[in-house]
Amino acid sequence: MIGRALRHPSFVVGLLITLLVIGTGLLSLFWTPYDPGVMRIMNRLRPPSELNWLGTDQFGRDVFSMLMVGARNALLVGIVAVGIGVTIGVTLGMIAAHGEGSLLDEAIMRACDFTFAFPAVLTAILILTFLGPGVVNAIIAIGIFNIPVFARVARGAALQVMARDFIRAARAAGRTGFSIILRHILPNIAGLIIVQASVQFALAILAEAGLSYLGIGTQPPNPSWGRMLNDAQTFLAQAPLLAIFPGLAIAFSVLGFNLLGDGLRDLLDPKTKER
Amino acid sequence: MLRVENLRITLRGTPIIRNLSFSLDRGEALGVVGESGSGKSMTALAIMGLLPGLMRAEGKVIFEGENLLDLDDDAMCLYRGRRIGMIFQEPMTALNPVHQVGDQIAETLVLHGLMDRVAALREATRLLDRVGIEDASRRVSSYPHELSGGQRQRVMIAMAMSCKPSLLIADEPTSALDVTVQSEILDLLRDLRLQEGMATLFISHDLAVIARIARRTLVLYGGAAMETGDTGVLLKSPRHPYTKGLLAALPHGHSRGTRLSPIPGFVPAAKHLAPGCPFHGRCPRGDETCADFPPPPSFEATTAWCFHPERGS
Amino acid sequence: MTASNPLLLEALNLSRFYRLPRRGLFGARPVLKAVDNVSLTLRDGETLGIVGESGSGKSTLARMLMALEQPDRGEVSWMGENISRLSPLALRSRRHEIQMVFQDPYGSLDPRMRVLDSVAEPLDVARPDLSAELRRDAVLEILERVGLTAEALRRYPHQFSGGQRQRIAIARALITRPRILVADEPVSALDVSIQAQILNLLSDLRAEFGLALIFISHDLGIVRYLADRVMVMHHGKVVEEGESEAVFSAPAHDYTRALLAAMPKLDE
Repeated sequence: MIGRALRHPSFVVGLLITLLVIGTGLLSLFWTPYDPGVMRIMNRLRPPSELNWLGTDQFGRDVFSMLMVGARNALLVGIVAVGIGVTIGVTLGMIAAHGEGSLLDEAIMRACDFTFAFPAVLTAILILTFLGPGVVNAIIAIGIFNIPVFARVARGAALQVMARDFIRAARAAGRTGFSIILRHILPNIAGLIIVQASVQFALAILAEAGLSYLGIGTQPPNPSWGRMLNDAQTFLAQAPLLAIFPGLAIAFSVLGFNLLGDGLRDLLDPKTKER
Repeated sequence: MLRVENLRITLRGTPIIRNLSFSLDRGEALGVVGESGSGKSMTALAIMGLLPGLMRAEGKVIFEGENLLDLDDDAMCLYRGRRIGMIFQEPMTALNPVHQVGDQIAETLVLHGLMDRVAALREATRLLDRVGIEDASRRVSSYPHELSGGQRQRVMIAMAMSCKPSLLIADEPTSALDVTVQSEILDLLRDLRLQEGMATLFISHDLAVIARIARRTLVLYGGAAMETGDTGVLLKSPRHPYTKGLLAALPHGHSRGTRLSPIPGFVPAAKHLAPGCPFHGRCPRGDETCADFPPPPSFEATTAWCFHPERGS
Repeated sequence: MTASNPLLLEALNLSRFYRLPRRGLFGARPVLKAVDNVSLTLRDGETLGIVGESGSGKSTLARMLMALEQPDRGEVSWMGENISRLSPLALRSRRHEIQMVFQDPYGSLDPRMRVLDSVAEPLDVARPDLSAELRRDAVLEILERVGLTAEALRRYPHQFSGGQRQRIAIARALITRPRILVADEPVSALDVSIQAQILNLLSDLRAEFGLALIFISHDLGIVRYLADRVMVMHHGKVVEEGESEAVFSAPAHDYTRALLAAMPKLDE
C-alpha cells in the first residue's frame, strides 16, 4: 500500500505540498523571520532582498512572515470548517441512509438541496453580515456549507454499502442499526469521506481567502492571504509582487490539497487495489 | 479454418497460457471447459486480439490462412466482428444502454461497409426475428434495459452474426441465465451453426452445457490443455486425472447421503503453479516428474497431456 | 423419520409485494408479487430444498424467514414463537438459533474486518460478556472445523479464495451453534471442484451439529443430492412440493417438468 502510494505522482506531489503548507504553518507558531505584526514605516514597499526575502508591504511588515502566519490561519479555518462539515454532515448522512425513504431522510436531503441552491460565498457573506465579521464566524459560515456536501456523500456511500450482503449478514447475526453503522458502514466509507475532506479543505482555504479579501473574514492585525491580496491591490502598480505572493500561496495550497484528494481517491478505491 | 499453435500468453513473465494448440473446422463446435483461472477466456481474447495491454501472446493463431497474432490493430478490425463474432456472459455490459438495439446491430453492418443505414436497419429486424425475438419489427427500437436477460443474449447473438462471420466465439454465454432460458439459447446456437455454417468456440465452466452443444471438448486447467477428444468419449471414460476429478465432483447422479469426491485444495495463483503440469499438487497420480516437466500428449481414445493417464475403455 | 421431530421453523401464508415505478404519469403503480402466499415447515434435522429460477422469490422468502425483511402478509415462527410478536430485543436474543450463508462469498464478509472479528460477530451479539480469550478460542475451534487454521484469524477476506471465504462464512454462521441454517445459493459462485468440497462440508456439519437446513438453489442436481424434501417456486408461488425423490423422478407440475427437461445432463 505504501509502496504503491509513493509511486502515485499526484498523491506524492499533493502530499509534499500539503506537508510544506502544514510545516510552514506549524513553524510560524515558534519562529518567523520578523514579527508579522510589527510595522516599520521606514521600510515600506521594499522589494525582495536578503533581509526581507519576499519584500515588505505598505506598512513595512515582512511579507514572508505574514505568509507563514497566513498559512497557519488558512489551515485553522480549513480544519475547523471541514471538521464541522464532517461530524455534522456524516451524522446526518447516516441518519438519512438508515431511514432511507422515510420522512426524516426526505427532510434531511431536501434541507441539503436547499443549502445547495444558494451560491456558497454569497450566503456566507449573508451569514457574516448577520453574525458580524471575524474569523470564527467565517469558520462557522464555511462549515455550514460543508455539512450538506458530506451528508450527501456519506448517505450515498452508506446506501451502497448497505446493499451488500455483509450488512444483511450482520443483521442476521443480531446486530442492529447503530452498531452496524459503527462497525460496518463507517469503516467502509471512511476512504471516500477522507477524499472528500481533502477537496473540501482546498475549497475552505479558498473561501476564507475570498471572505477575508472582502474584509469580512479574518480581521487585522491577524494576517490572512485573502486580506493581503486586498491590501496589495492599492499598490499594484508600485509593487505587483505584493499581490503575486499571497496569490501563489493560495493557488499552491489549493492545488496541493486537490492533488492529495485525487491521489487518495485512486489509492483508496477498492477497484484499483492490487489483486 | 482456425488453428491455434503453441499459443503462449504471459503477464509480466508469468505464464497464463502454456503452449496451447487446438484446431476448429468449418461449421464445427468445440467446447472449451475450465474453472476460473484456467485461461479459457484469455484464449478467446487472444484470438480476438483483445488481450489486456500487459499481456504478451506468442505462437500462432491461424485463421483462414492468416496469423492473427501478426496483425496490427487496424488489420485486426477487419476480422473482429466481421469474420469472427463474439458473445459474452453478461450481455448488459456489452450492449450500450443508451442506444436502441436495432441501431446497435445496424451499426456493425454500416461500420464494416456492408450496407447503408436503411438497409442495415431492415437487416437488423430480420436478424432479431432470426434469433427468435418475437415481434422483431417493434423490438428493434427497444433499449437494452427493456429486454429480459435471455432476450439481451439473443440481441448479442444477432449482433455477433450480423456480418455472417465464419467463427463465433461464445464465452460463457448462458452462465448468467436461468436453466429454461439457457436451454433455448443453446438450441438457438446449435441451429445457427448448422444452418449458417458458423464454427463455434464455446467456452464454459459447465461440463453438462458443453455436452449439449459441442461434439469435441478441450479441457483446460491452469493455462494448459489437460485433455481433448470426442465429448461423449471424454465424459464417459476420461483419461486425465483432472477430467476424472471434475466429473466425480459433480453431484449429478450421486444419491443422497453419499459423499462427493471433490478435488482437494484450490487453484493456486498462476505464479505458484508448477512449471511442469499445472495440476501437479492437486493430482492424485502426480509424482516428481509431473512437477518439473510438461507432460507429453498421450493419444488413445482421447488425447491426454499426462504422464500417468488412465487407460481408455 | 422426521414427521415426529419438533417443528423448528414455520411460515404461514407469507406474501411480499413490491411496488414498481408507475408506468406513465397517471397509471397505477403495478405490484410485483415477489412471494405469494407461501407456507412451509421445517422440522429438526430435516433438509428442505427450495428450487427456482431468478425472480421466483426464493431469496425474498429466505430473507423473510430470517426476519431480515417484513412480510406484507402471513407470519413466521421460530421454535413455535411468532417472530412478528417479539420485541426487537427478544428477536435479537433468538437470532443465534437461526443463521444464514449467502451466495456471494465476496460480498458477505466485511472487507475491512479481520476474519477473527467477522466470524465472532454473531457471538459478540449473543454473548457480549465473553472474554477475549474465550472468544478467540471459540472462533479458532469453528474455523478448524471448517478446514481453516489459526493463521486465518488475523487476515482479511481479500486474502482468501472464494471457496475459503465460503468456509469462513459457514464458520461464522455456525459459531453460535444454531439449530437452523438457511443457505441461499451457497455454492453457485464457486468452481465445480470447490463446490463439492463445500457441499461435503455442509452435509458433514449438518450431521455433526444436528442442523435443520434450508437449501436454496437454482441447481436441481445439487438440491436433489442434498434435500429430503423439495419445494419448487415459480413467480412467487410454490408450484410443487414433496419428498425430494418423488418430485424429481415423477414431477407432477408442468413447470417442474420443464425445468427438469431444460437442465443440461452429462449423458446427452
